[in-house]
Amino acid sequence: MSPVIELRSLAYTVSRMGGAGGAQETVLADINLNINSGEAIACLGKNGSGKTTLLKLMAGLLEPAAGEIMFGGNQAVGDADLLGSRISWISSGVDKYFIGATVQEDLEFSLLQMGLSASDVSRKVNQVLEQFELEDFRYFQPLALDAAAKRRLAFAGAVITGPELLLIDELFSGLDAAETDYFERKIGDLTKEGCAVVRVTQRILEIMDYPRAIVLADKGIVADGKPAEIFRDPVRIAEWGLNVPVALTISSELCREGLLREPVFSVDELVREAGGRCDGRDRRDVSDGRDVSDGRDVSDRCDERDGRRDELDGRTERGNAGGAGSAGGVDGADAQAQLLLKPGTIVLLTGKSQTTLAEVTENLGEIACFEGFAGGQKKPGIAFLPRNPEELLIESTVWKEVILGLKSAKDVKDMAKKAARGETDARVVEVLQLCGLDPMRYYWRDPHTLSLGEQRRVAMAAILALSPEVICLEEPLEGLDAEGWESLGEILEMLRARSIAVLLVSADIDHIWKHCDTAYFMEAAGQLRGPANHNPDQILTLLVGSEFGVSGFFGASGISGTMHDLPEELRLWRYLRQSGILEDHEIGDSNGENCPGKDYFTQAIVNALNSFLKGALTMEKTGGDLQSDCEKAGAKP
Amino acid sequence: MKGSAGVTKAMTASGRYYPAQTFIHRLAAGNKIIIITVWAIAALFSDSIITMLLMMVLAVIAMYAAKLPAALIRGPLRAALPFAILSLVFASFTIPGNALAAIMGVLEITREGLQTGILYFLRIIVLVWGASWLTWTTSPLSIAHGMTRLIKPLQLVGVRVEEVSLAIALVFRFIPILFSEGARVLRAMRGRGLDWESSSLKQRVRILSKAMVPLFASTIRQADLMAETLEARGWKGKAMIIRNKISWRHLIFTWMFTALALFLIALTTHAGNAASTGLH
Repeated sequence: MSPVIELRSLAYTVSRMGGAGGAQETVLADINLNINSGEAIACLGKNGSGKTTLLKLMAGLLEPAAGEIMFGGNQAVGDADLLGSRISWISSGVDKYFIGATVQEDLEFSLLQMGLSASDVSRKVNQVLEQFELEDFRYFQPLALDAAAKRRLAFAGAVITGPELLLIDELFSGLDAAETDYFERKIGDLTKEGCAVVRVTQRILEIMDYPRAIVLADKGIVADGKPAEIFRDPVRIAEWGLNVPVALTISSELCREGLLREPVFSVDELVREAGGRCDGRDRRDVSDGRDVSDGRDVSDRCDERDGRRDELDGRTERGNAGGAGSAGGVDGADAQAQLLLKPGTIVLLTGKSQTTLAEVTENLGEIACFEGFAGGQKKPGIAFLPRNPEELLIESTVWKEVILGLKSAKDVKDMAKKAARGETDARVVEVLQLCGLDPMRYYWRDPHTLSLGEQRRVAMAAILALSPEVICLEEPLEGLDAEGWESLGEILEMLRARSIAVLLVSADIDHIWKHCDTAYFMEAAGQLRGPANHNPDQILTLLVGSEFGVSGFFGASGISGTMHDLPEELRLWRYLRQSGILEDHEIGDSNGENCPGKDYFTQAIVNALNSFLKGALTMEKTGGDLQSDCEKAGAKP
Repeated sequence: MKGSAGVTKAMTASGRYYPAQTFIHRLAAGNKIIIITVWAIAALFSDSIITMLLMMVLAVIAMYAAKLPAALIRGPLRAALPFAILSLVFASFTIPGNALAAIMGVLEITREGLQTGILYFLRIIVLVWGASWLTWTTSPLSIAHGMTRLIKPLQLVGVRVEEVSLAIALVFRFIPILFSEGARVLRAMRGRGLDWESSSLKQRVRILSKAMVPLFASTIRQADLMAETLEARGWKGKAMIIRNKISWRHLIFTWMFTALALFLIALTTHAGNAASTGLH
């Protein structure tokens, strides 16, 4: 098969502003890559590794410094007019991608540029509107659509021209599992028609089904092959700056101990593996909670599990009742809890819909109650960090950015101004250091050219300069790589140490749930469930408690139609607790204070699986009655 | 979000496209541009209050036919009110004539001044309504397309019409972007304790002066992004819209209505002039 696009020893450099004599900085060097028609490729790499640059080079939006890009064997991408017809590119900032004033007009644009007749254009637009379920929005303004529909429109606008190469830059961040699946199916259809697709992403688990993946690091392609093969080693994944899937960390540890033959990537696989050991002769597929091949009554088992679940819930409620100042149990009938914010605590507010969550941040003063702040019952100073830190960044240097709030916060008289000057400067240096930015390295840089993680730190420094008592973070995880997640954790702990109350408002709770002291779940506008203390049992009950039927528990991956996946660790934890492999752990004390470190849960899970599998293996060797042992393990709690 | 609702209102008031399916929306932009040009000339040249009132009625009919919501129609009224009141006050104090009342023995309100003031006041509303009617019912790309068609004859004298057309389209496309960038900068400043809503006039001036440079910088960044988008979507200088299909019946109806309106305007202007000359 001939390659659609061919990259030959490609390099790209940018001249650094402010550097001595406009020094050249290499972004990509010596890239060689062939992409065949009908091939789907995932492109991974940490923030700033050059994924976006590579995509723009392939689209012909950027001029390479060296090397060449050939399209269809003989055309250089830069020379021919390919973009918008035979090559399509979708930017990550989807709002800027639209041209038309209505959905229909936007879809027509590229087709008209290709010189198609009006009737052909109308026919194609109608077809695509139907295909992407956008008919109802035909006369809507693109920017008035919701997040998922906007992305559908961008995708539709890119494929309407029938491209041979589709380049997608982080289009799906912030979408839930069901919506991402929808696009994956569309991509699958495209590749069947012979269109090559390159998709940029951060998360390994999303692209495990792709036939091929490339990893960008150190200005080049460091890995190229089947995802299951190149992502075997957690150490290497961490070196590339990507997030290591939890199941992989655990299973490779188990491999080292000789308890598993091969590392697995998803929690489902891990559970299946563990379940297989447990059941022996009486095989059942634990991953969807259904009996596969036996005569036993399914409902029997369900009852069994149900009983266990009730016990679990009962315990949680007891634990909660003993908790300090909680406004009713997790599953309490009157779900009218109020957010309680205290200095030095991290509170997580999650929910199904991002729009209702956004409303919360709009009138936080009304729905939350504050305790222990200097101003007493009075509303404390609340600062707000939006999901996209760039929203907050308006100045041309980091220094100006941070000092802006300081200069305007108080109306300093001219006399006092001079005296206060040194003070403000010292304050800027202080907050920059607090947020992990070296003032000397960063003060002159343009905030808009920084990476997302750095921008978040600058924005954080800018609001910290105002010494707020409460900081509200909206969707802090969006678009962050492994390093960004680490740094977010650091920032959170720093805020805790400075006794600032933090409210995390996020539908995606992966990783951050481990940092929070209490968690609340928002069902609809004004309907709050919680709080749950810092304890996986309580958080799980809060998140899935009433949503999940027993039979649906293992099968469904998402919490509901519009929320992100349940974090992998929590899913595994839940399985281990329910099947009795993991015993009741006393974590911290009942007040949710004294939180263990963030790796505590992973470690607890590994230990539990380890000892369980060891037990199972010894049993296998001695030929003991596996079945009864398994039942015993199950009945323990 | 509460904050952005106000911004959206501001954008619609400033003449953003309001999509709907009416024959006025489908009418080719060129037609509408001609109608609005004639409309503006008529409003500027006639100096009778009766004509202005008549034109306001006609404008409301035209907007009703385009199914524009009442809230939208009120928008420019509010926006034009300060200017209109200013000109009303200015004219009624400065134009000499029969004194109606005197303030502090120095300033006199005259009958002629008051008449002229009201005329200016109404004229501004008529003009703003006319321009808004065009931008509400016509998408930016259509307006650009319509203008291109109108200036096409200039090709004969060497004007590069396609480039002018793109420039027009970009200007129209950029207006909403500018508004949202402005809103963003103000939001960012609110995040630092510079709250527009709860500020005194003096503070607002300070906030605005601080916002100008960031706004300018971000505008340049946005322009860059837009160029990228146009390239990515394959812009090759071809027409950017499909001409809407409109029935002959509607086209004839529209032009008949316009002709009738012009006739009425001319008539009332003449009558108004005759009346005022008769008074003297």
